[in-house]
Amino acid sequence: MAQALRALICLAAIAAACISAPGVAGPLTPRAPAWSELSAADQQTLAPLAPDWDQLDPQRRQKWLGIAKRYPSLGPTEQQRVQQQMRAWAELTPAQRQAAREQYKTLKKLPPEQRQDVVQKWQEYQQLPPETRRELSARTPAPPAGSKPAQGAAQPH
Amino acid sequence: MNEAEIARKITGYLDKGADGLKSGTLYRLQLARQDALARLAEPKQVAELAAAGARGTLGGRHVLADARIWIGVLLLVGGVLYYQHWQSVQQVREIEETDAAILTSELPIEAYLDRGFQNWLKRSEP
Repeated sequence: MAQALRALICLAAIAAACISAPGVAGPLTPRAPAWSELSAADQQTLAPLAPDWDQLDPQRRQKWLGIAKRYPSLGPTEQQRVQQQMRAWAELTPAQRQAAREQYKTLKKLPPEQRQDVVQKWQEYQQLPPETRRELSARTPAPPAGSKPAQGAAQPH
Repeated sequence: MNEAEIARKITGYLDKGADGLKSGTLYRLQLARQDALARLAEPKQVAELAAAGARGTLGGRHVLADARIWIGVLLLVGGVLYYQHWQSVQQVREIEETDAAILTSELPIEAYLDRGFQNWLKRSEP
């Protein structure tokens, strides 16, 4: 009797451990290929990431492979932007990437006419005297309207 | 009006209502009654199962040897694992979409990270 109960408790404990372990998706996550295993096309698209590819975690590799898959459908200007920004993006800290995503989502919520102005405003902002920009940076930002503050730890992607 | 009178009145109404039931409805009620009576036997089975659990046996067989238990546990764990995997795939896809949009956007990455620019945008909002 005691043996059977112990076995059942062990089984339940194993199931609970499997369910609660943070890395549980590991065995089920599609295998993240090494740089040498990528297709020639993916290697060409993701060339700026080549030096660090094998150190990226599986989820980040999957994400980049997804972006590489979208790449051929982009226009030449967008492809150029991706190439130019890929390395800088990968070098950001997870917290910075998360902050940029939050800001992107905030800007996306702007009305279309305001959204179109953002690029021009960025150019105008860069024309401001450095001390004005420093002063603006030093201010604590008010939470953007309609956006939630980032919760918990940043996703390491 | 005391309770007995109220009860008599209610039973009178119920009897009158029951007399007016169609034969099909009566048949269904009869089936439901039989079903309910059959279920009365179930607590006995539950008690038997509990006792079997305490003994580690069921109908002479060891509980752990019952394939149904193993299949149930496997299905449960498999289901939860699959759900977590699906969630993780969705999360990666969402991040991929956002990152692709940022990388292809006209705004450079530093614009999304420049706190001064964010404050300036807020200030210049109409």
